[in-house]
Amino acid sequence: MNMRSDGFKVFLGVLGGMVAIVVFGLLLSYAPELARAPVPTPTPGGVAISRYRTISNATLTDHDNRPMSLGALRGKPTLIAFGYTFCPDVCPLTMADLRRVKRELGEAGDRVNFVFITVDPQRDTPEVIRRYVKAFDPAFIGLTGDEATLKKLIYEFDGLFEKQPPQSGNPNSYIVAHTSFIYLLDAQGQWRMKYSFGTPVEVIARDVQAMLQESARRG
Amino acid sequence: MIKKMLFAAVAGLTLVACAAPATPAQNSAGQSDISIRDAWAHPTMGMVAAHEGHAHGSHGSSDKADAAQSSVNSAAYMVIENKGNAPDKLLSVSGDIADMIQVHQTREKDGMMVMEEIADGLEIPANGNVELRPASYHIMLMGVKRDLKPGDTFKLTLNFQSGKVIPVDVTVREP
Repeated sequence: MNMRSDGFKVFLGVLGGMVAIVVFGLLLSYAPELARAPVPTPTPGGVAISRYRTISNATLTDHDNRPMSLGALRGKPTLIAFGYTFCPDVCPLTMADLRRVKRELGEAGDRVNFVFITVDPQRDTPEVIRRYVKAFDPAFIGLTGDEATLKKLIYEFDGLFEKQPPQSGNPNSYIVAHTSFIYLLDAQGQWRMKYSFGTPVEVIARDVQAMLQESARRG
Repeated sequence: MIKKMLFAAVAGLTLVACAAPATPAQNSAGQSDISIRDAWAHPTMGMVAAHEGHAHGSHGSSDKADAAQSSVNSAAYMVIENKGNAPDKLLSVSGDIADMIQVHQTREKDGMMVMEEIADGLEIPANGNVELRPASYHIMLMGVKRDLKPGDTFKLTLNFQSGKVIPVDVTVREP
């Protein structure tokens, strides 16, 4: 009797489970939006670079038309964004984000380098770059160089850029496709983090803040 | 007999099912009903004044002469809403704020951000809207003619496939 009762319970349980699966499946098939709904949008954040990479000490030209080696940036955490001034959409937003990171950091922002590196050395002369970066913040640094040096440099960040053929008759209206991350280097010149376009500035500021504290501990 | 009737019923239903979606589109004298909101554009941050200087050759250095090759650009964003029961298409945008105005899309291609003109028009669905926003659809302003400071406004005119011509006031602001 007991045995039979147990067997019956198991049978009922299995039957119940099967019915539940069928009902759930029917629900899903009748309400396809239910099936798609539960995928949450991930909060974008920074990506840690698993093996810190020391970025090479390339010599570029700064916004005052003076040679500047990337090694000169060491001693402070550095945020780097590649872009070009002709770019009307993603680049000014990235630059505006850098400015908001600096505002978020307050006084600590003075202990950080904010660097724009052009992917369009042909049109972005030092003078154009100076006007551009200073419009966002007087402390921002703008850099250019010859195309080969810049391509090698962005490649060190697993990135690339590629000049596109001009769409209109004007040969100077070309677009430059490029990877658009913000990179964070520590005071030793090691690449530590990358942030995809649209990462909340608070996330970036928090990482920079932590890096500043780390530098302070090292003395 | 019953089988035949069933077959006929199924065939009839299938016909109805197939025809149904097409009927409203064929019969409707539908119209788009376009409105625009939240139009804004990036500032140009003193870049235009600098560019003018080059163009007039008021400064002699070769660096500045080179810079005249470039142009100062901006982008405008907005929400285009269609309350009508027919879709429409944004075909072109005009205005005297820039030398060239195009509808563009930024998208990711081979891991890079790339911008392309939407040459065959941007579809605005019936009873729907399209948001022009950063890193997506935008109106590219190439060769901006005067410096755009936060708080400034300028006019654009949106030309739709339906023949509608819609003026828009765009406010310059920081993103």
